[in-house]
Amino acid sequence: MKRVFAIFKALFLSNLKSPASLFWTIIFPVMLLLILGSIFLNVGKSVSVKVAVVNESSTFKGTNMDFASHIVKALKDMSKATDDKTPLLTIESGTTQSFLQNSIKELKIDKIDAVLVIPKLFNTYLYARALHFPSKVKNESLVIYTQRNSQSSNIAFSILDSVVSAFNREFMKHSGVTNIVIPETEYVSMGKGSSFSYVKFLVTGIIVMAFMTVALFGVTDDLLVQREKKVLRRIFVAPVDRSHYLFGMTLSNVVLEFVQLALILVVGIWMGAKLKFGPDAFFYLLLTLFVMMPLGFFVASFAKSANSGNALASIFNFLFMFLGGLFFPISGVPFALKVVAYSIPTTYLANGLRDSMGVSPSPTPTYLNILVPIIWAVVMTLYSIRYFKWEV
Amino acid sequence: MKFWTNLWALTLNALRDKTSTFFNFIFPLIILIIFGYVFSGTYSQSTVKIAFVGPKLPEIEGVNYEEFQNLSDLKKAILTQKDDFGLSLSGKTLRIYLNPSNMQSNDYYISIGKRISKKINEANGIVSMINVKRTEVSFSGKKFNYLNNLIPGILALSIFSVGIFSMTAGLAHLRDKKVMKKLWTTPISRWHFYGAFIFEKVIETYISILALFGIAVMIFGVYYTVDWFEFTILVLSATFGMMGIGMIILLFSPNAKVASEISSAIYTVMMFFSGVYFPIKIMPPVLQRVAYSLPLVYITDAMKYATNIAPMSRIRFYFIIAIMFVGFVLVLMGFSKVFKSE
Repeated sequence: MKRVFAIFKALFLSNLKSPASLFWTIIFPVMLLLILGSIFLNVGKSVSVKVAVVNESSTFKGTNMDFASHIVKALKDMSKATDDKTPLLTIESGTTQSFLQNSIKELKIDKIDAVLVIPKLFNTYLYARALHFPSKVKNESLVIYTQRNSQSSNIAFSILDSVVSAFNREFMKHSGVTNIVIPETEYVSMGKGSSFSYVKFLVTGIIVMAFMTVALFGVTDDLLVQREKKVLRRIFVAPVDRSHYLFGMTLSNVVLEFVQLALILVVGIWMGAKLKFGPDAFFYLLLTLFVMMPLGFFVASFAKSANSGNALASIFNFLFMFLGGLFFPISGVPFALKVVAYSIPTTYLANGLRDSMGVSPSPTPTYLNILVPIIWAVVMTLYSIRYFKWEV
Repeated sequence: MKFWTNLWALTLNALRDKTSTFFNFIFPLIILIIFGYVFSGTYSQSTVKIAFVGPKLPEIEGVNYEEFQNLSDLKKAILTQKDDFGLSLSGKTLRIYLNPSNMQSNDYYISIGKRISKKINEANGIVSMINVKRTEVSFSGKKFNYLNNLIPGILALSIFSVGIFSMTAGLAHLRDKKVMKKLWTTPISRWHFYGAFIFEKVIETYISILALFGIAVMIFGVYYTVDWFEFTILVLSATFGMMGIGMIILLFSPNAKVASEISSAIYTVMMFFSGVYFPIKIMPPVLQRVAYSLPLVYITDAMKYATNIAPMSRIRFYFIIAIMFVGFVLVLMGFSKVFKSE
């Protein structure tokens, strides 16, 4: 036991003194949580879009039937800042063809996000429709120009479309139409008093990622570098058994992972993540620890050198991080990638952890959330025992 | 003559270095494939699965309905991602139930819900007074999808990683293994060696970027109208620029391992601030300022311009090129004055 503790102390202090180790195991997960958390917490909050409104309407000007000016006024009201918040819309308005051409040019070069065009006979058309007059005026639709594949353009369109929908509802109300179907959005939550937040989703994913990077870049790198530099050979000249070394190394990484976990949870809670800590949550945390630890040995068993180990670890890291749904759900991926995603242990560990911590129900059954990672842990351990070479 | 000998030796060394081949070519390719599919799938779902409760809903192209008997089963199906989203029509309200974790897709699902409510109203003889016609425009007039935007960004990231790692991994290893110390005992001019090293790395980067681009076009079936002159000059200048950053990292690093670690950390952080995976506009203002202070954003924008995806003024493009060439100056300064080869 003394020897195990001596090795644990040496390796743990070595990790603490290594800036690289400190960065990847402690600083990087926290930094990632802060960056991704603040980005996605900000979505929809401080976004402001720029819209050009071209009011070409030329009939019923200055009268109550000047519906075009009501729309323009509504948009201008939305562009006023309230309570020191950034206004949702910034409006530029004009009436001429040259203003329209310039606006579309600016839209194409990303200077504005949308162009709303109110056609010439818009007021006449609406007046005729409102009074059910047969009219020779053809369907005068509002035209909204947006930029292809631009998220801010899509947001601008949603805002303008919502304004138009509100006007349509008012028209219906005044016409006595009462059975209009209106869409309303509801975000499904896990239960009473529980609301989803992306920070909660992220915290659980980053916990799995943090445990994984300790194994992949801590264990793998330590073993391979020490093997290459013949440090392991010298250690085993001393009365130290390989099992002592393994237990000491495992203990050192487990303690590091607990430090990581504490930091990630503190930062996550500070960012507003309210997580449940029942027995099943502790179970999944321990399962993640137990499954990720052999991963480092497994990768080290394949690699002949520290460089190739690093390369292999990078592949595993990216695959497990992004296909494991640690940062984003992976529901829309093609079938071939779904097969890969549902074979890797991080998918199940993240699902189980999120379910147990009250973030979101697991899309995979509980028995798979436990069985698949355990199978991985057993296979990786057996492979490492059989194939890892302590000396090359 | 010596320059070409050095160049040949360094080229053979690069071809035989499996780690270098992996990080310069295979790793970016893996990232391209994973991110290409993970981030594009949600934007181009061919079929959407909708859970519904209550009266039947109108058929819409690309939508498959699954009926549930009660709301709690419907919500469970959405939360466990068995269905993409849910609908229930009750009186005058069409409620759209969304999984909050599907941040990338929810706007798209809401637009489908609105289309369905419009169809219901039309079936009841209720037609909107004000109609909206959406017209999409693009800089080049062509139809691009999310992948068209993503691929130039990934190419920019690859230039960044190859440029930086060529110095912090390649040159640092030659220094640490005393290869350069031995070379200086021979009648090889340092500038022949450095020139050959830079030339080899730039050509290696260009070939790997071209290969990556070609594979991306083949796998994802995307189309670009590339200005090859501007593309070439961008790849070359960006490689110099990133080599310059790599040189700065190398000057402050005691050995190759530390230099590689710093480069990996910078690369990983820059990935999220590059605007490749999510737009910079959605970041908080503080993080936007961080993003705009990093070179990768500008390389990404310039790459989108060179592949005719996004607009940029010529002046701005060549200004970015000029700034990147400043990196070349940093490389030369590092070689000539401060870089310690022992």
